[in-house]
Amino acid sequence: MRAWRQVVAILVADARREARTGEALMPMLVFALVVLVVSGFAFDLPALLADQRRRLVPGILWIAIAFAMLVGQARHLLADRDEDRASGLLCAPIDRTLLFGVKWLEGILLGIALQVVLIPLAVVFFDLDLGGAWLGLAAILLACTAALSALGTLLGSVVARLGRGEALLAILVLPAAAPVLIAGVKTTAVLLAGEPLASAAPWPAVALGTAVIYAAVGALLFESVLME
Amino acid sequence: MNESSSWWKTGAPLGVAFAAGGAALVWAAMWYAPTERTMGDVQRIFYMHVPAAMNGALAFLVAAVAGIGYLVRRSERWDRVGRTAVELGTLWATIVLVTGPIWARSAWGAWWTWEPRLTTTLIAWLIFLGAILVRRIAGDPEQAARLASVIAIIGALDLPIVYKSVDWWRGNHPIVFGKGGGGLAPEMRTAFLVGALAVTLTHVVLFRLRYRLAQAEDRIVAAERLADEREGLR
Amino acid sequence: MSTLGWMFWGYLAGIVLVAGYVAWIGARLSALERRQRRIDSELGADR
Repeated sequence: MRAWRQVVAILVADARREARTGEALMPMLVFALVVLVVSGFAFDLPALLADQRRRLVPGILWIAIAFAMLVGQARHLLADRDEDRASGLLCAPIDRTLLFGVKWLEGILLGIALQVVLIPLAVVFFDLDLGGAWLGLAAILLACTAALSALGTLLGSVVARLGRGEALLAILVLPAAAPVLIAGVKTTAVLLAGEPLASAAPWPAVALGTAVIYAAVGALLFESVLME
Repeated sequence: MNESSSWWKTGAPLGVAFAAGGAALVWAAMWYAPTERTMGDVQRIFYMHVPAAMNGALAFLVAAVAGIGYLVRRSERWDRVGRTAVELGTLWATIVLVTGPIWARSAWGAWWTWEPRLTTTLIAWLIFLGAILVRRIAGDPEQAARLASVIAIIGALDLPIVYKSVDWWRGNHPIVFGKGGGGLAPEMRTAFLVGALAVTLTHVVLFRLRYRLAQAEDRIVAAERLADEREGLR
Repeated sequence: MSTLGWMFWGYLAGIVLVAGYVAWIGARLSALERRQRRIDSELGADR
C-alpha cells in the first residue's frame, strides 16, 4: 500500500515537472521531427516508388524513435539527478527496484507520447497506408519501447551520474539495443506490407523477451548505479 | 635505477618468449599446415582468428564475473580483474575484427558480412569500449569501478541475445567444429593447437602485466589521497 | 595481393596490436612509477 502511494507520488511529481518545463518531451518531439525531415532529403524519398519507400520507412521510424528516446531519457534522468542533489530524494526510504520500475514506466510513457505524434506525421510525410495494421503496430511499438526504456533507464542513470548527456548514452545503449532495433524494423516492415503480426515471427517475441530481460537486469543493477 | 633493471629482467625473457611464440604461430599457420582443399590459403587465418575469438569471449566472461564480484564484494581486487579483462577482451575482439574481414574478402567476396559471430564481436567491441570510456570519464575510482561493472554485466548478458537475433536476421558462418563441421586434418589440428597455445599464453602474460599496471594505478590513487590529506592538515 | 600476402598482413596486424598494447602498458607503468617516487619523496620530506 505504501509502495503504491510512493509510486503514484513520484509519477505525479514528475508529470508536473514535465508539464511545467517540457524538458524531456519537447526535445524528443522536435528531434524526431528533424530526423523525419532529414531522412526525406538523405534517402531522396520523393524520387522513390511507393514500394521502395516502404523498405526504408521502418528504418527511418526506428532511428527517429531510438534517438529521440535517448534524448528524452538523458534529459529526464539528468534533471532527476540535479533534483536529488538539491532535495536529497534518494535519502527517502524508497526501494531502488521500485524506483527503477517508476523510471522505466516514465520512459515508456515518454515513448508513447512521442509515437502518438510521430506516427501520424510519418503517415503524412511518407504516404503510408496503415490500414488494419495499426493495432499490431501499437503492440510492437509498445514492446520495443519497453525494451529501449529499460536499457535507457539503467544506462541513462549511469550517464547522469557522470554528468553526461545523450552522446554517451547513445554509445552505451545503441549497441546493446541491436536486437530490439532489428525486431522493431522487421516487424514494422511486415506490418506496413499489409501482413498480419503473426507472420513477423520470431520478432514480436524477441521484442517482448528483450523488454522482460532488460527490465529484470535493470531492476537488479539499478541500486549499484544510484549508490553515491 | 633498480626498478628499470627489474623491468629489464622480466621484460627481456618476455620479449624473447613473445617473439618465439609469434614466430611459431606464423610458421605453423603459413608453412606447416597444409592448404585447405576447398577454401585454399585463406583458411590459414583461422589459426589466429579462432583462438583470438575464444580468448576474447573468455575475457568478456571474466569481465562480467569480475563485475558481479565487485558489486557484491566491493573489493579492489575484483575491480582490477575487471579493468584488466575488459581491455584484454577489447584487444582480442580487435584482432578478430581485423582478421575476420581478411577471411571474408577471399571466402565470401566482401570485406564485411553481417554474419552472427562477426556482428556480435563488433557489438561486444562497442559495448566494452563503452565500459572503458565510462571508466575514463568517471570521477573517483569507486564510481568508475561500480559503473564499469554494470556495463560489463549488461554487455556480457546481452551478447547471447545479440548473437541469436543476428543469427535469425542473417547467417552463414563456416562451422569447423561440432555439428555440420568437416573437422580438421591432423597437421591442421597441430597448427591450431600451436595457435591456441600461443594466443592463450599471450593472454595469460598480458593479464599479469595489465594487472600489475592496475595495482600501480591503485597505489598512486591511494598515495595521492594521502598526500592531499597531509596537504589539508598543514 | 595474393591470398598468402593477405594472410601475412593478418598475422602481422595481430602481432603488432599485441606488441602495441604491451608497449602502452610499459609506458604507463614507468610513468606511474615515476609519479609514485615523486609522491613518496614529497611525503618523506614532510616527515
